[in-house]
Amino acid sequence: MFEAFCQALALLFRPDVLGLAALGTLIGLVFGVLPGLGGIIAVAVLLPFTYGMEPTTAMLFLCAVMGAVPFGGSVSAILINTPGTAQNICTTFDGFPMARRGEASRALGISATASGLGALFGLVVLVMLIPVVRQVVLLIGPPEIFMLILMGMVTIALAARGNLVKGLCAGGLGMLISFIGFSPVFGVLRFNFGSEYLWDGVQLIPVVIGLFGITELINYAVRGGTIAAERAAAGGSMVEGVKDVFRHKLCFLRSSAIGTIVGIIPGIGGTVATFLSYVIAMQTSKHPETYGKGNPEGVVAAESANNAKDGGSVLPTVGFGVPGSAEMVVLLGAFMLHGIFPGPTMIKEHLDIVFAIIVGFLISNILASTLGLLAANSLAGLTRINTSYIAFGVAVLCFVGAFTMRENIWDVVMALLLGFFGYGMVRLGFPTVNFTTGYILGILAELYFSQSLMISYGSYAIFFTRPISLTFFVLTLFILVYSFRRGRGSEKG
Amino acid sequence: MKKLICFSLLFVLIVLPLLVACAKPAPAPAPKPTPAPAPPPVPTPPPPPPFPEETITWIVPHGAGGFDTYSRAIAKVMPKYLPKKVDIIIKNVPAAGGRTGTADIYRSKPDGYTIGILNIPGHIVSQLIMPVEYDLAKMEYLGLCSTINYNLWVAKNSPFRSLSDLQQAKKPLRSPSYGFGQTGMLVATITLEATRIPYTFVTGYTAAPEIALSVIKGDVDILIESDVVVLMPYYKTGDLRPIAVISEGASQLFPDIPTMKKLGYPELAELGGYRIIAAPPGTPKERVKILEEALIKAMQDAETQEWSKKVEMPLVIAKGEEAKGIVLKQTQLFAKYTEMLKAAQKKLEK
Repeated sequence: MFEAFCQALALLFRPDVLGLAALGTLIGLVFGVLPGLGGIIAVAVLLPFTYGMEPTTAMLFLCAVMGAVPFGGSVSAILINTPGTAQNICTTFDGFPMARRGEASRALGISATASGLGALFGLVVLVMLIPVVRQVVLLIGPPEIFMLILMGMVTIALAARGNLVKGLCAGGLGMLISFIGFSPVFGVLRFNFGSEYLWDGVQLIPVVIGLFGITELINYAVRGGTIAAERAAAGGSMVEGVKDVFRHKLCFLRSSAIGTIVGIIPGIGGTVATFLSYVIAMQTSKHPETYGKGNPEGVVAAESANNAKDGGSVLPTVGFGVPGSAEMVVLLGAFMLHGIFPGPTMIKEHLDIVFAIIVGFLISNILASTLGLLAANSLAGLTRINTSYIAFGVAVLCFVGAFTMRENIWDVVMALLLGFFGYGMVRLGFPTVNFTTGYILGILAELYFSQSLMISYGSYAIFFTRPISLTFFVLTLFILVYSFRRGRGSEKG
Repeated sequence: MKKLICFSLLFVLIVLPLLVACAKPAPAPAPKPTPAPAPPPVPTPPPPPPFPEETITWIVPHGAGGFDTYSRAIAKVMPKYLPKKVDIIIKNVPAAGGRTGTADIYRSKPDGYTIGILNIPGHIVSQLIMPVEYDLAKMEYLGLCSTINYNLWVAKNSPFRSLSDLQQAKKPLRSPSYGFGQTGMLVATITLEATRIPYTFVTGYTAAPEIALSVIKGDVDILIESDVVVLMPYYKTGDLRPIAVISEGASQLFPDIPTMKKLGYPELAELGGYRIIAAPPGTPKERVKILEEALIKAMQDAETQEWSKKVEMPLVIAKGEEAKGIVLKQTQLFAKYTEMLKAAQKKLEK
C-alpha cells in the first residue's frame, strides 16, 4: 500500500499533472464560491474533458476539483451569508455574524485551516480503514442511518434556545416542505397541489439561495450600511483564525470524526455531516447560547466536518461502489467512463486509482487553504463596502445560481418566495437553523425509517437489535438527558 | 429611497439579460449548444439545406448510469460520420424519473438538432398508467444501442438454491427496488406474480451497488435486477449467485443457470429493457436518415467497439425501423400487464 501511495505522489512531479491539480483546485474554488453551483456540477461538466487522460490523472484532477469546493463555499457563506453549497449552511450561522463584527478575515482563517486539516483527518482515516472496508460498510444499513439522523433531529430540537416552541415549529415546517413531491418509496405524489414543477419537490438549491441569499438581500435593503457593522477588534485577523482551530482542538477533532463517519455512511453526505457536527458541538459546548452569534467554534465545527467527509465518503465508493456522498455519485460515473468498475474488487485491482484520488484531495486542500489564507484579508474587504454597491452583484449571483441547476425559471421564483418567507421567519424570531435541519433531514428520516420497517417486516425491534443502531440510539438519549439536566441548572431551556 | 430605486433598476437591467441568455443552456464553463439554425428554405428542387450545420443536443433523461454512459460513448464518435462533423453534446435531464427529459425530447423543435435516448419499456409503462406529455408511438426512431437483461439473484449464503425453493418460502421474500414506476420494479412484479413467489418490496434504494450491498448483508432476500455490469464483480467474488435468467438475452452470460423459459415461464423471456435513440416527431425524413446512418456507423466504429469490450458494456445494434418495432411490441406486451401492475401496486400500498 505504501508503494501505491508513493506512486500516486510521484504523479505530482509531472508538470502536466501538477498543472491539472492546480487548475482543478481553482475550478473547485470558483464552483464552490458561486451559490447554486458546487462539486457535483463541476465534476459533471468537466467529465467529458477527462476522456483523453489516463484514469489516474483523471481521478486526481476530478478529486482536486471536489476537494476545493467546501472551502470555496465557505467564502460566500462567511462574506454574504449565502452558502456556496449546502454543506456550507452551518458555516453561515457563525461565520456571517463574525463578518458582521468585522472579523471576516478571522472567520476565513478558521475556515481555511479547519478545511485543510479536516480533509487530512478524513484521508488518514480512509487509508487506515481500507484493509477493513468490507466489514465497515457491511455494518451500516437503513436502521443505523435512521438512528444517526434521529440524533441530528433531536439535537436540533434542543438547539432552539430561548424559544422551544418557535424552534419546533420551524423544524416541523421544514420537514413538511421536504415531503413535497413524488415519493419513490411509496409511489405517491404528495402536496404538489397539482403542479408538475413540484413533482420533484422543493429543491435544495432554491432553498439555500432563497433562505440565505435573498433574505440577506432584503436585509441589505432594509438595513443599509456595510456588511461589517463594526470595525474589526484587534483579534479579528486571519492569523487569529488559524490559532482558533488549535484553541478549539477538541471541537475540531470531534467534528472531523463526525464528518468522516457520516462520509463513510452511504446515502448521507456533507449537509448532514455539517449539521450533526455543528449541533453536537453546540450542545456540548460550555456556552451554547453563543452559537449562532459569531462563536469561532461554530465555524470550526462546520468547516472541519465538510472536508473530513470527503475522505470518509471515498471508502464505500471505492470499496463497494456505493457512493458515500452526492459528489461520489458523479465520481462513480467517472469511474465507469474510464472503464473502472467499482465493486468488491476495485481496491485489489485499482489501488493506484484509490491513491490518485487521495492525493487529488490532499493537494487541492493544501492549495485551496493556502490560497484562502493569503487572500483572506482582501476577500474580507468586501464586507467593508457599502451594501448598495455589492447588492446587485449578490442578486445576480443568487438569481442566476437558482436558475442554473435545472434551467427552470420556477426555481428562481421559489427562491424568491423562500427569501421573503425567510426574512419573515427571522423577523418573527423563528430560527432558520431548525427550519433548514427539518428540511434536510425530514425526507431522509422518512426514507430510512420506512426502509428499516420494510426489511423487518414491520417490526420496530430492528432498531434495537442491531448493535450500531442501538448505540446511536443510546447516544441520542444521552444527549437528551444531558441537555435537560443542563437546562435545569441554568434558566429554563 | 433613491438608492433603492437605483439598485432595483441596475438589478433588473443586469439580471434580465443574463436570464434570457441563460434560457438557452447555462453559462457554465463547458461547450453548450447554440440556438436552432435558420429554418430550411421553401421547398424548391435540390439541393436540400445542409444539415447539420451546428451542434446537436442529445438529451439523456437520467443522471449518471447506463443510459448516460452509452450516450456519451456514442456521441463522442458520432460526429465523425456527420457531413460537417459538428459536435454532439449530452444534456442530462434527470427530473421526474426521466419523464421530463422524455417530454423534452418529444417537444423539441423537430429540426434534427435535438435527439435523445429513451428508456423502453420504462416510459411505455408511464404512458400507459398516467398522463404524460409524450406519445412514444409518434417519435422518429434512429436506432437501438443496447439491451438491459434481467436475472434473479440471491446472496452467497442464502438458503434458497432454486426457483422451487423460492416458491416454497414460508415468509414473503423481500425484494429491493428503486421505487414505484421504475422498470426494475415492474419486471420484478411481473416475474414474482407469474412464478407465484411470495414477496414484498423494500423500496427507496438509489443505486445498483446499494441494492447489491443490501442483498449481501441480508437485509433483503432476492434480487431481480439488470445492470449486469455492476453486479458482475459480485458474481466473480461469489457474493451474489444467479438462480434464474429472466431475459432471453442474458442466457449466454450464465450458461449453467436455467432460464425462465426452461423453467416453464416462457412469457417472462420477453421482459427486458432497451436503450433506444429517437428524434422528435416531425423531424424531416432526410435528417432522420443522416442521423440514423451516423448513429449506426458510430456504434460499429472500431473505437466504440473497443470501448464496449473494455468496459464490458455490450452494444446491441439495430436500425430505426427495428427499434420502432421493439417499441410497438413492448407497448402491446405491457398493455397486457397494466391491470396486473395496478392491482399489485394497490396490494403493496396496504
